[in-house]
Amino acid sequence: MLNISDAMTSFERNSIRSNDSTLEDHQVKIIKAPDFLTRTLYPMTTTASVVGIKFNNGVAIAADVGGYYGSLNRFKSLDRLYKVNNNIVMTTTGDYADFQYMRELIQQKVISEEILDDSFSLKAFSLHTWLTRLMYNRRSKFDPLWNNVIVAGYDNNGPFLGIVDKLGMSYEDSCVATGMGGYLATPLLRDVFERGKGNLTKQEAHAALQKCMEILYYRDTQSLPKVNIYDFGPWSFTNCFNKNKIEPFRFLSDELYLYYSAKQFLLALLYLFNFFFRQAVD
Amino acid sequence: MSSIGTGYDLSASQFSPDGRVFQVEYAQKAIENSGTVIGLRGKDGVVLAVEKLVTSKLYEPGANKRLFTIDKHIGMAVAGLISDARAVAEVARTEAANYRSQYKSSIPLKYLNERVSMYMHAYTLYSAVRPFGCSVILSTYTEEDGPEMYMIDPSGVSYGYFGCAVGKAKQAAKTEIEKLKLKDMSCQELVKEAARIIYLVHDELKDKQFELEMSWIGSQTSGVNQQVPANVHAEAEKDAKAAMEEDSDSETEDI
Amino acid sequence: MHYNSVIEEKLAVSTSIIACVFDGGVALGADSRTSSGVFITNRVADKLTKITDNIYCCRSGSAADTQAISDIVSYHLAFQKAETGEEPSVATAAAVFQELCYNHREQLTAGIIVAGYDKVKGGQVYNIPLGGMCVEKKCAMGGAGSTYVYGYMDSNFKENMTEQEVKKFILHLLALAMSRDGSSGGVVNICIIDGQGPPRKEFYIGDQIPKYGI
Repeated sequence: MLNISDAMTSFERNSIRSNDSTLEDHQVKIIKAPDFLTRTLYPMTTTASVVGIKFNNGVAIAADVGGYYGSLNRFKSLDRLYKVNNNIVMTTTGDYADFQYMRELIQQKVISEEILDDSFSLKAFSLHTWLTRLMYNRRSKFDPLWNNVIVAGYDNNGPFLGIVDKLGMSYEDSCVATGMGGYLATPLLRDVFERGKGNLTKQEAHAALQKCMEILYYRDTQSLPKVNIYDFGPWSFTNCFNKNKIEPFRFLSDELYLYYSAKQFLLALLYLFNFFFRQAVD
Repeated sequence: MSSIGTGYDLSASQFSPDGRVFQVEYAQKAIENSGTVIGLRGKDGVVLAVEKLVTSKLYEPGANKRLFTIDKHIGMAVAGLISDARAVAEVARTEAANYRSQYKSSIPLKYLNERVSMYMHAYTLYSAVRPFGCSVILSTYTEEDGPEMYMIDPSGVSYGYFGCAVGKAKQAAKTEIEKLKLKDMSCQELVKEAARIIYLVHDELKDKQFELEMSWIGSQTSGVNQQVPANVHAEAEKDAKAAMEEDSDSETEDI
Repeated sequence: MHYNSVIEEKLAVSTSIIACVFDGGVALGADSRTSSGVFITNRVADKLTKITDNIYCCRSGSAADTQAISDIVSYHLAFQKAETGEEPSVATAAAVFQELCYNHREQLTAGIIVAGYDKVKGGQVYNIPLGGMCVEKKCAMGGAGSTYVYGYMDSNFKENMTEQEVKKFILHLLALAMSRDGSSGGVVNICIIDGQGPPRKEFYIGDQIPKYGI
């Protein structure tokens, strides 16, 4: 039987060899169709850090309202703190389309559960567990939802604060932060929390979150100085949860500014005094 | 029931020579054995009320509810076989959820009614199934279209209503409903009338115990279906009982 | 490689598109360039596509993808209209677009702006960019050319403009985008939807398009 290579000139053979040295003479190269069903996801419109902290009898979380398309700040007021029911708020860092998808899943879940009218309602702890399963299932299909999720809530068991990452790894903590906040805000929050011996007031918690968002604005290219802060506690089952409240962002609070200015001034005085005093002694 | 035993009533997929489908008619009979259910549609909402017959003192109060919520903005009241009704409610809930996931908005009642009617009708066409032994009333309230109410019977036929009644004493209830000026009435007024009518048509001699169930949906509930709050329920029930006393007093005087 | 060329050189509407709400309705605008690599395959393309009587969309990304998506959404909404007997809402249209764009986000290159008028909420604009998110906006832009004119939009867009003002705003914005973006050009298409009769489409050509700088 005539081998394919017999019909070729040595030049042709060599040119094939030089193109693809792994092919034997008699082999036919199989060209695969390109893989149309790619699942390698990357985020498109993204949102930045979320930070959260527990305080004496409640929990507060904060997130800015920016939506980024690469480095373009394409959306300037994206609502991403989702009030699940009267006890839970949930939000994510990462792909906004995936956040919307998760929001719809949860919304239907809550409706299906509320219409049973059996006086049970979803708890933050349960939602956190369910989201862990959702994220892990998706990553196991090599098709992860590109988000890190934070769940905060308050119920009979007290405040809840949990985190789930895009691979389905999850934990509960008194201070949580996603995105760049994980690097910049976590140490700050833990410091505040430990100095307050785990017994912060609501105001202290708010101030700590505010400070974190401020620092994140300085150091994260994909952040905005427009922040939503929500808190939960026994007082806030229905009324105090103000979804559209956007806290005005202050770069440095007036008191702090005054404090720093005064400190600088005193230091300068001390220096001068020291200088003259020494001269006088000499 | 003159045609009983002629052999044309064994299957839902067979007509009788005079053009009837007996299985469907028997299903309607099943509903007539159940407690009375009424729906009143006023100017700003819909009230559903059920005379839930309690056949044993050993049951927990509130068991076997006959009022359902289908989606946040849709209520349902059922008469007939409760297990059949639950199946219909589940179908309606699935339908509402599918609509929401597809169009990201809540299902219009007109559309839900069509879908559920079609589903119930399908069970009147085949020999392998029996028709649903229940009738359902669907209610909603939206900012755009105001209050709406539909009733579906086992044949799959449905109509929009201002006031409707089904079950044991539907005739008596309808007569009472017709006396009301429904279009001018608010939900607060309708709740009282609904409670009064249920107490009025209840037959104490045949059915001793019953529970009054009421739900409403309207502008005052911001378009969300709810059980009538306990205090409003109690008030309406008290008034209904008082009206009954008055009624029986005047009757004895006549004699 | 040869077998890949069909995929790599697909027709792209790399575009400048915009839609915004004005007093009484919505206005949509688009340039008219479709190109394949450096070659302009269509210099008078119509990127404002009808979905229902009162809902249109602006398409950007792959021409094939966005045409297919628009066809599917038109079909869905026509079906919904036939079933419910009611005019589909703009929100519903956007939801169906999002469903398709999100579920096939890795297979599609489609950035779509849905705009229209319905009785319940009046004029609305929904932006559905590449990843398949969906957000309602007063003014939304899309396509490669739009990145050059974000500043113009931010400083010149006002709510409650009149029809004349909004047309002028869109015309100037697109003229600026077309003058800086090689993949945008041709004529300017503008469509006004205000629920008063059928949508009005106009186009601006040659000298009618303002010129800027050197």
